[in-house]
Amino acid sequence: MTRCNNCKVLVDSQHTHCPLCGIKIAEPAPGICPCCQQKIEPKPVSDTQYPAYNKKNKRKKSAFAAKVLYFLSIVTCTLCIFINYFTFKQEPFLWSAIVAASIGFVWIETRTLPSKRLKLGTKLMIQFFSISFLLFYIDTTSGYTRWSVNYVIPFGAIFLIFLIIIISVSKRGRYRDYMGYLLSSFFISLLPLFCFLFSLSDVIWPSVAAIIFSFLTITGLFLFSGKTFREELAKRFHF
Amino acid sequence: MEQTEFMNKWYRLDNAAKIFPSVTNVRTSSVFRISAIMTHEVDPIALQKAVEHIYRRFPLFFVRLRNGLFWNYFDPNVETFSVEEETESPCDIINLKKRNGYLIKVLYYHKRISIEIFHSLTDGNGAVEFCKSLLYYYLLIKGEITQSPVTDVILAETSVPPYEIEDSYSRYHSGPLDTDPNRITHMQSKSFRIVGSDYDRFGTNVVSGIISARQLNETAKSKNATITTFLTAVLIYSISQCRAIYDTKDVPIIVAVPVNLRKIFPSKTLRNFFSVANIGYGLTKQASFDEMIEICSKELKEKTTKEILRRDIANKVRLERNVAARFVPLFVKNMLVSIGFDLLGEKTKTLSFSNLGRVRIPECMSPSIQLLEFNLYSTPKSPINCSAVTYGDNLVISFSRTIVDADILQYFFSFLSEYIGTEIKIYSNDWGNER
Repeated sequence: MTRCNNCKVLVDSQHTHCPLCGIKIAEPAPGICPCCQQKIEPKPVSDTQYPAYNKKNKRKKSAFAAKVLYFLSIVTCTLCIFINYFTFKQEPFLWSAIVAASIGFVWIETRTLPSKRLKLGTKLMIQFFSISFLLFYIDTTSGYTRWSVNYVIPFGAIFLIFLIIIISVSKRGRYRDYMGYLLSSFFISLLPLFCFLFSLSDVIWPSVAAIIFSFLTITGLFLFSGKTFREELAKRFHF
Repeated sequence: MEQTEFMNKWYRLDNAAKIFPSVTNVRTSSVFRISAIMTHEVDPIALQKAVEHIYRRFPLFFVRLRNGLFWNYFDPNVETFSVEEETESPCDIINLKKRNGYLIKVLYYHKRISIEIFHSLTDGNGAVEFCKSLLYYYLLIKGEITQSPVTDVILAETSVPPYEIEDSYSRYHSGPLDTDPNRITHMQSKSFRIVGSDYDRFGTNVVSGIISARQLNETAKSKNATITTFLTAVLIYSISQCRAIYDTKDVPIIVAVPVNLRKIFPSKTLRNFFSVANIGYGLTKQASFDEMIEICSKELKEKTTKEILRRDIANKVRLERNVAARFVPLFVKNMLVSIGFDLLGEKTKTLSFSNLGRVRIPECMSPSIQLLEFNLYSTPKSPINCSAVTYGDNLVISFSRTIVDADILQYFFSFLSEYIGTEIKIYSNDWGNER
């Protein structure tokens, strides 16, 4: 123990500086004796000592690369908007908005796809929503012929449910995890119908096909794993 | 518990636990820590065996947090749980992917065994029970103690009684709501905020001071105060002398003191069962230290009566059971809780001070344990928090901070040392001060 007269406390021998005021209270142990040049045994680790932390910032490199990409995206968007604005009279079409939305989509992709934190099911859900939104946006800015809401989104929902079924069957150990995604995709399959009810789409059969596919999936779940499915429902809805 | 039964069991989060998943991020980890400094170097193999031995006895500690449609819930976790050598700063956010979804870490370094727990699982007292069992079986496996009848430790060979996993908030919530206009005003009022420079790299700096519990208790008693009240007053006085007297704003220094409700209600739950008493509304920054002790003592007594605490529980449970709250989707709840926590929790306090009190450990284990430590996590709005725990005659006061400025800590320890007339031994993890 060394006394710090500045703070009027005893400081553990592991410290060469007072943890409170930062004043030097002891000399660091030299590795080699200055008189005889013999190697000095290091001091025993104090009982209350914490580990030496890794000073390197692991995220620094990737954070810098992300900043470069972020800046390049802003530059591209700004240039496109600038060119689009000054050529709008010759070509009256807002193509720069599509470029900006596409860059936004790429950003979502680069953030979610390599993420180790997100589960595969969550990644699929994010993919479905981001692709649907991008295509709907392209559709609306290029004349709104309703191809996105009539066909792409309903069939996208069917494909999403199909993929989740495949994953949940192939990963039997995580079957319960994917039940939640199947339940969520049931609600997603209702989206195309809402599009039809609010006159956003004008072809109903793909929307109905999505709901039927989803309904059959849920019915299958009830038949083949009724007890597990009911338990999962109880957990997720708290009843 | 059979494997299938263990797998199928799921748990609702208790009233306090529901808040933490919504407010947790890198800077608010919601992780607290209890450590034991042993007399010998820690044996990781024996520690791993001890964890595996008590794994089933503490089902609520080894769970996975899941998202439901309206609420989070806990699912049993059957993935491998491993003890780890300590490498990160204390109370760091728990990386769920790296730790197979577990919300608890069991760490070792040199002679220290630490348990870091996500606050949704339990509070300080639940964690102490877990820690005692872990240490008991660790010492048993190491051969440092022999199997003998012990009290004060939960044994792995016993079954899990329902009262240990009950949500005690639901049990003791009946009765009228708290409608005291003073307390409602306090819940919305701003408090003095400690500001400072962040470390270059985010992490928690811990400074601990060991003091004689007997001497501190004698000094507190001479002022008709408890140790918690006395230390709360020292904290307020230190903040007042270092910061508040130079500040033009007239806002009170508020210390949030968690209250163990098991001492007031006959609960033995291992889940969260605490309330928070905000102390310091009746003080001005010019008050003398003796006045501060007197007012802190009065406020703490007033705010920890059975009736006040029961009403507080009633308020919280009523809010949770509100029909509107029940049917709001989880992602909306997360946003609302996060805003509410910021406005009603974080802005109304200057810092938290949690005193675990005296931890009783069976006599056969005492020769192997030197010290106990207790650390809280910091948040952006309260970058310094304080905690204390007593074991034997050693009371360890720990400050966790995410800012460089140590003026309040320096004043606190210097003042305490002079006032009591005893030496305080200081040590730190030196986060951010690596030389």
